[in-house]
Amino acid sequence: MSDRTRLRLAVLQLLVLTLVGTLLARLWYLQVLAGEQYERIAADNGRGTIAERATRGRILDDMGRPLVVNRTSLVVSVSNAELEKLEDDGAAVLQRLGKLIKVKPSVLKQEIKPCPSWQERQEQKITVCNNGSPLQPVPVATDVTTDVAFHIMEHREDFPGVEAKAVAVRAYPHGTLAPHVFGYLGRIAADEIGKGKYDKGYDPNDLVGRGGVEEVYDRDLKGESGLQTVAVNRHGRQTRVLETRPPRPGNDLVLSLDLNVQKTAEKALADWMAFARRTPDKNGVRKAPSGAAVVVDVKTGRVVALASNPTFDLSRFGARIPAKEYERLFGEKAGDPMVSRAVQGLFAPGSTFKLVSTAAAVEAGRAPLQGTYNCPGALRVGNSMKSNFEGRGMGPINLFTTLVESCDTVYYQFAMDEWYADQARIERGEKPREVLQEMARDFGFGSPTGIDLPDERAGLIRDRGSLRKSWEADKDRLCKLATDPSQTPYQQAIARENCLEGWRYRLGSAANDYVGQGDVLVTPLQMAMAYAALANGGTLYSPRVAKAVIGPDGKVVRHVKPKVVRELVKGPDPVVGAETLRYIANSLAAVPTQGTARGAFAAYPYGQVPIAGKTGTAEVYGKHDTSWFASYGPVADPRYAIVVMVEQAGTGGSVAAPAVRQIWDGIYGLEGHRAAFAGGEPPTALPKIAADGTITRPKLPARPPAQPQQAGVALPAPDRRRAGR
Amino acid sequence: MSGATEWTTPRASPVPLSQRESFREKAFQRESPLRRLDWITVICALALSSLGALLVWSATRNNLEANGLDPATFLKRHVLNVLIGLALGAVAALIDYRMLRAYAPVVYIASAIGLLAVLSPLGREINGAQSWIVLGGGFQIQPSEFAKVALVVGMAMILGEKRDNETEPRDGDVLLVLAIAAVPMLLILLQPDFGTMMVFVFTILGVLAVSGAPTRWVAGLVMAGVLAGWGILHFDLLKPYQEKRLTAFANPDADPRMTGYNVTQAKVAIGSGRVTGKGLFQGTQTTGQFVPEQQTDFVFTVAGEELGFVGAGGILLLLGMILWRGTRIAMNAGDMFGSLVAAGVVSWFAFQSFVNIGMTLGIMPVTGLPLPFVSYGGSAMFANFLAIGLLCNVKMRSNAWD
Repeated sequence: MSDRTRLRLAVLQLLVLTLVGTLLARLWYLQVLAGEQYERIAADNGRGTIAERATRGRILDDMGRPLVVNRTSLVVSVSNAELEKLEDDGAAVLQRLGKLIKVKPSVLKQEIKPCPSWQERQEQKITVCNNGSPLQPVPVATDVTTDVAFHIMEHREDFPGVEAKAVAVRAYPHGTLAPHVFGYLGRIAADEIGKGKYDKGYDPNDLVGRGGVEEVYDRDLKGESGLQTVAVNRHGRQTRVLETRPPRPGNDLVLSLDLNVQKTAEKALADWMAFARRTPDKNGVRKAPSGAAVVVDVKTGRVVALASNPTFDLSRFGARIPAKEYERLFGEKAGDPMVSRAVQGLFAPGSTFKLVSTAAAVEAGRAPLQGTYNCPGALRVGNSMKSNFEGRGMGPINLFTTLVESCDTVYYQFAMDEWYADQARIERGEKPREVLQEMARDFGFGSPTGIDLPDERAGLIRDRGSLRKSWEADKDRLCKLATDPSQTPYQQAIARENCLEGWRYRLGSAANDYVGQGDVLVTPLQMAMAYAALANGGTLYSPRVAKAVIGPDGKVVRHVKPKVVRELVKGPDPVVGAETLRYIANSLAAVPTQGTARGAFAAYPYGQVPIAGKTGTAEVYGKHDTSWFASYGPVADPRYAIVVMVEQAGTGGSVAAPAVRQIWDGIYGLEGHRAAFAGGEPPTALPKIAADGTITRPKLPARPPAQPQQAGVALPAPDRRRAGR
Repeated sequence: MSGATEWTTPRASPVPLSQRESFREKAFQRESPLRRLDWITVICALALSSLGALLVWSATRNNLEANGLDPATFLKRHVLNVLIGLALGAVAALIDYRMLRAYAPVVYIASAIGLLAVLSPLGREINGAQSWIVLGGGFQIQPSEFAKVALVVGMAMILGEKRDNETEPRDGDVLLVLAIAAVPMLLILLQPDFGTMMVFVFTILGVLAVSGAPTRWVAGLVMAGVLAGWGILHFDLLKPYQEKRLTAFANPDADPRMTGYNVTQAKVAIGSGRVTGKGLFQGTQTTGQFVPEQQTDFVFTVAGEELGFVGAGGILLLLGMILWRGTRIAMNAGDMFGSLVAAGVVSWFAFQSFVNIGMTLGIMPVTGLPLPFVSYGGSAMFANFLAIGLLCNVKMRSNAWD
C-alpha cells in the first residue's frame, strides 16, 4: 500500500469522523438546546379540537306541543382549506361532487369560498360566499340520500375535503306556521363573535338564531358545545382522543303562543285576505297584499297568537335555493314575507286610534262623558273642508255614538280646539300640551312594545318637537328638490313648501292625527297592547311570546314574564280616569252589535262570548284603505285582545272585523269551530317535561263564571243615524 | 494422545476421529471465516437494522391500522428484508476473493441492464423518479441500489489491478473507471434520481482518491462536480420541484406547505424528542404522520422523536462505528482491490448517511436517499448487507490484521 493511499485513507477516516461529529452536534442542538421550542410546536401540531354541537332546545307552545324540533339529516360538507391543498384547487373534486349531488361545481365553489371583505362583495356583486370560519367545512347539501353519503364515505380518495355525516337540523312540523315568531338558524359571522350578545361561548362554527325567538333566546336554546381534544395527524384526521367534555343540550323554550289559536289566527287572516282579493268593493279590486293578526292575553300580557301574512316555509331556508327561486319565495315579489307585519309593519291605524283620541279629548276636558257633540257631514278645518266618512252627518250626538259610529268630524273639532289652544300657548311663550301625542305615548304608541322578538319597530307619533327635528335633518334635501328641474312643477311646489314650512305642525295634520291618519304609524302589536290595556283596566304590558325556559332535566330554568310598562289608571300619576276608560270600553262593546262592525258580527252568538271592538279604515294615498279591527272580550271579564290588520283591503268592517270574529270563534269554539281552549282560558301551568324529553300537557282551566257587566258608567242610547267607519 | 492400536480398525477417515474437528471447532478455528469475520461491523449492522425494524413499525402501524391492515405489515417485510440481506451478505463474505473479481463485470452489466429496464415501460415512477421495476406480487426492485455495489467492485477491480510496481493508477485507468461509472450514472440521472447520482459521485471520488490517483484527477473531479452543480442551478436544468427540494432546507418557510413543510415537520419531530425521547410508539409527530416518507427517507425522525438524543445519537454512533471499521479494513486489506472495495463502501455509506440524516436535521437538501440499514426498503437493504459482506470478505482475506 502506497503512502499516498494510506494518507488518503486517513483523510477519509477524518472526513467520516467529521461528518458524524457534525450530525451529532446538530442533533444536540435540535434536541437538547432548541428542544423545548420544538416540543411546544409538536404539542400544538398534533392537537385539534372538535366541537360537538349540542342539541338545540325545542320550541313548544303553551300546551307543550312541539313547534320547532330537531331531526337528523345527512349533510354533505366541503372544506375549502382542504381543497386548496390539491393541485387543481379541488376542481376535479367539486366536479365529481357536483355530479353526485346535482349542483353546478361553479355554485359549489362560490358557496365554499370564504367571503371577501364587505366592500369587495359589493364591488364584485358576490352574493354567495362562506362567511364562517375558512377552516370549517361548509354544508353544501342537506338531506342527501344514504346512497350519496355512503358513496362519499367509501370513495374518500375521490373526495378529499368532503364529508358526509348525520347532523341535527331544525324541523318545523307545522310548515309555514309562525315563521316570524320562531326565526331560523344561520351561521354566526366571524365578526360577530365576542361582541354584544355573542360575547361568550360562541365559536365560528356555531349556528345562531336569526329573527324570532331563536335569536332572542339563542343562549337558552343553544346549550353548550362539547369539546373533544384529539390528537390529529397531518391530514387533520383524528388519531386518538385526549380529552372529552360532553355537550350540554340546550333548554326547551315554552311559548305562551298556542298552536290552535295561532292556526286559527293564521287561517282567519288568510281566509279574509283571500276574500278581499276575490271580492272587489266599490273602489275596485282589493289587493290585500299583507296582513297581521295578534291575540294577546290581556290579564297577563302574553302573546297567544302572532300571525303575519304572507308567510313562508322555514324549512326551505336550509336548502339550496337558486337566487331566482329565493327571490320568488322570500323577495319583494313574494310580498317580503320575512317582514313580520305584526311587529315590523307600520300602518296608519285609522279609527282604531280613536281609543287614544277619545281618552285624550276627555282627559283634556274637551269632551265630557255626558256631553253632546255635533257630527256634521263636513267641517271646515283651516282652509279646507274635511268630510265625515262618506260625507254623512248625524247632527248632535253623545260620546257613545261618536265612538260606536266613529264620527270623524267630532274628532276634527277636538283637534282644532286643541291645536288653537296649543298655538295660543306657544304665542304666550308656554309649552304646547299636545294631549293626543301624550296620550298616544302613554298607550305605548311611538315606542317599541319591548316584545321578545328582534327588530321591532317603534312607529311614529309626531309632535311639534320631533317634527322640527326631522325637518332639520331633511330640509337640505327638500330645498334642493324644490329647484330640481327633474321634478314636476307640482312636486317642486310641495318640496318648496316643505323646505320652508316643513317644521310647522299644521292644523290639518292635527286633524288627521286625531282620526289615526296623517303621520300616525303603529304596529298591529302596539294596537293589541293598547286595547289590552283598555280591556284589563289600564295596565299596559310589554308583551312576551315566551313563557318559560325549561332545562333538559325538566326543571324550569326561568320564567319569562311580561313587564308592566305603565298603569294608566292606577298609580300616582294616572293618565286616564278609570271612568273614562270604562266608558270607552263599554261603548266599544256596542260596536259589533249596533256600530260599524255590526255587519261583520251579524248573528254572532253574543250570549256565549260577548266581545267589544273598534273598526279602523285608514286611507292610504293612491291605494285601497287599510282594514283594521281591534277587539277584546269577553266584555264582562276580558281575557283576550285581538287585532287584525289587512293592507289595501277596504273598510275595517268588511275584512278585519270578520277575521277577528273567526278568531273568537276558534278560541271559544263558537259557530261550529273547534275550541282552541276547552274552557276558553289559556293554560296557567307549564307543560311538564321529563328527563327523557317527553312532554305532559298542562290542565286547562275551566271557564270562569260569567261576571256581571261592569257598572258605574251610564251609557246613553246610540243615535239612529249612521256615520262612522 | 498415542493410541496407535486404534489405527487397526478400518479407517473411516484419514484423520483420527479424535483429531477430526467438529463443525463447531472448525468454526472457531483461528483461520475460520467466522473467527475472522468483522463482528463489530456485523453487529452494528444488525443493531441498526433491528432498530430500523422498530422505527419502521412505529412509523407505519397507525396508518396501516387505520386502513384496516395488519399494523405489522411493514415490520414483517423489514425483518424479511434483513434476513435476505444477511444471506446475501454471507454469500458476499464467503465467496472466493478471486471469484469476486471475476464476477465484477457480470454484476456491472447486470446492474446496467437493470437500470436500463427501469427506464423502459417495465419501470415505475415513485416520487418523481422512475427508479423501480415492479416484479408483481408486491415485489419491486430498485436497480440503482445494486448498481452501487457493482460500481464499488467494478472500480476496485480496474484500479486495484496494478501492473508491476505501480503506485498509482495511470490516466488510462482513471478514464476507464470514469467511463464505466458514467454509464450507470447517466441512466440514474435519466430517472432522474439526483441523490443516488451524488452517492455515485462521492463514491467514485473516494475510490479514486484511495487508489492513489494523481491529485490533479481528484481535485479536477471535485472542481467538475462543483461546476456541474452550479451549472444545473444556474441554467435551470432541474424541474421546479427538484429545485425546491434542494433549496427548501435552507429556507423552509419559503414553501412551508410542500418540501419546506416536510423539513420543518422533520425538525419538529426530532427536536421535540429531547434527550430521552417520547418513547417508542409515543411520538405525536410520528403517530400523527406529520413527517412524510417516515419509514423510508425520514426514518431518522422517528428515532429522534421517540428515542430522543440517546437513541438517535446511538444510531449515529453505530453508523460511525461501521464507517470506522470500514476505513480500518481498507487500511489493513491484503491488496489494493480489498482496500478500494472497503473505501468504496465507506464513501458510499458515509455520504448517504450524512445526506439522509442531514436532511432530517435541516442541514442538507431533501433528496430521496434512504438511511443504510434503518430505512425500510428491500433493494437498499440487500445492497447494504452485500456491502457489509464485501467488507468482511476483504477483512477475512487480509494478512496483516491484528
